[in-house]
Amino acid sequence: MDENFVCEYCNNKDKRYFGIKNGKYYCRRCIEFSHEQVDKSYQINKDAVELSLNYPLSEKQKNISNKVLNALIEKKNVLISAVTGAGKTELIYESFEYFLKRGLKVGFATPRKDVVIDLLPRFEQAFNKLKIVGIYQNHTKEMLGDIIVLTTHQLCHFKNYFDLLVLDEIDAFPYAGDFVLNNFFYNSVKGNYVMLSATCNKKDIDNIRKDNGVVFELNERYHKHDLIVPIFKYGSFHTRLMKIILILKRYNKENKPCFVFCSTIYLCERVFSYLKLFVKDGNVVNSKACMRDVIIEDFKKGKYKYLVTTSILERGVTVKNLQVMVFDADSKLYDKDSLIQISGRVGRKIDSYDGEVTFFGNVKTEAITNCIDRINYVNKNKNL
Amino acid sequence: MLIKTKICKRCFKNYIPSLIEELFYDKSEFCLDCLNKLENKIRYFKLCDCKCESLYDYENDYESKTVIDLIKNKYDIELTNMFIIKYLLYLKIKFYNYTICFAPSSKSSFNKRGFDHLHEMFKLLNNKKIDCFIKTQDIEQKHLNKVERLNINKYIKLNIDKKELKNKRILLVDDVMTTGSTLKACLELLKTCECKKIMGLVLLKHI
Ligand SMILES: [Zn+2]
Ligand SMILES: [Zn+2]
Repeated sequence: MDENFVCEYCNNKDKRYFGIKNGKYYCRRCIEFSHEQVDKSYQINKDAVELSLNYPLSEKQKNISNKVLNALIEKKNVLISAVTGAGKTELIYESFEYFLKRGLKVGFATPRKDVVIDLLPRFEQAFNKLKIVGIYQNHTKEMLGDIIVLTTHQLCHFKNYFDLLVLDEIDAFPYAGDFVLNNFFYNSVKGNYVMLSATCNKKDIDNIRKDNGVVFELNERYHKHDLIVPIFKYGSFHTRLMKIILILKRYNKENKPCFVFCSTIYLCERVFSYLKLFVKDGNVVNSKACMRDVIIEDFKKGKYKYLVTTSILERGVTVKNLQVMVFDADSKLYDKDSLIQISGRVGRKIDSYDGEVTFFGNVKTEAITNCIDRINYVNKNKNL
Repeated sequence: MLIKTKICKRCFKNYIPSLIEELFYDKSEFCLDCLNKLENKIRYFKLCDCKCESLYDYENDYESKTVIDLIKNKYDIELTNMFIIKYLLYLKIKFYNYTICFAPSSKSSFNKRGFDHLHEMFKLLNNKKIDCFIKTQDIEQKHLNKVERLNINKYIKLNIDKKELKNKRILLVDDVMTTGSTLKACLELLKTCECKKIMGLVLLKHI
């Protein structure tokens, strides 16, 4: 048997994950993933590549967008560290346009299915003559298109495929720290990659510098207004519920949709069972809720006034005028980064840059303090 | 004293086999946590007047569904012992003088997997084993609808001389039972062979 066996899909060399079949090693670490590969002969519709933006890029966005493209032309990898609501996705449109016009293959990967669904219409608008495909769990029939938007899980079908692959939310579950998904990502890149993050750490920066990469920072939201600083409110379980009901009623009057985050699915269900007695037009969304895509879609359309949710809506989902409350911000399950992400849901749109983020809890944890400090710091330094 | 740790073939973690485990789950390569996730659920039932039993429920048991999927659709041969190991002692005692007959499986799925999953799943039982059925058409059951499944008996034939089964105790085995039509077809054929006794055993049963 080949003692130097390395899995060609996930690069695993650890013998612990080897199995033996018919006298040969096989890899069991990535075994739940399909190894079926897509047809690489797909031809990009080069002549239809035309970028149309609803809003022009801000000066700072333009500047970074240019830098990214130049780095890619020099065959370098890129990490963009940008505050939530900076318009990260828009920063790579120019590079996509450049690559697509040359018939090169581009893709946009993210750990979360909800983010894929949220991004699809935005790409369809920006490149309205191209075929945009979204690939995620249970939605894998169509795999070929001019721009491929997919979850990191689905990268298993695209080994050595992309001339330019973008990875959004590099610090999000389940991608972060997952050996197999990380290697799928690197193995899917034939040319270069761009990573996007709102909460990247020193290790991410070190890694990309080691891998022939450059780092660009964008500390300003697209509309140039400050990030919303969360307000912390003490309160027992019951007072919290009372306060939330009052706030929701006010939002209702002002016609502002709202997310109420809870740390666990159980808490989510419990909190909603109370809230719905006092405030109508709400619903609950968590990884266990069936029809969650439909509920989120309905919420965006305005059918619901508020959603009680777990961290599955912590990233990506953009809704105009959204307000946010966190029922138990002092939970151990929230770290600084997830609280920053949650706060970042608010004030993202150019015509609704204001809003409120309220954290509730019995104690003001280190994570809460660090989150508020970090947001204040970024606001102060946005012009640097 | 040297404590031997093993690597669990299901969760890949190190574990120390306990004495009890070694006794009951002979040669197990799975940690107790993983084994306990499979929910033992023996069900007795009759098909064509033959006594049959199933060891796990297919519904409600997320782990058993996952494991059978890994074996059959992801071709993971290392998990094949997992279902039998929890019942090894029981099955060895209950069926010690039986000859195991395998329900027929599709040739094309064998080619894809690179191993015969049914043979592998029962390899810890030392009984005499025979492949006494063939499918005259190479069809994979999962592509059939309910009516087509009921007509499966048209495609199943005996593969050996009936004399070979005469006066023997026969245990017909299969992995997953959905409508039971395959098993019924096999049992009807076995009944024509003058066996001493015929029983059925499936690992997972749809309830
Ligand atoms: Zn592998
Ligand atoms: Zn285990």
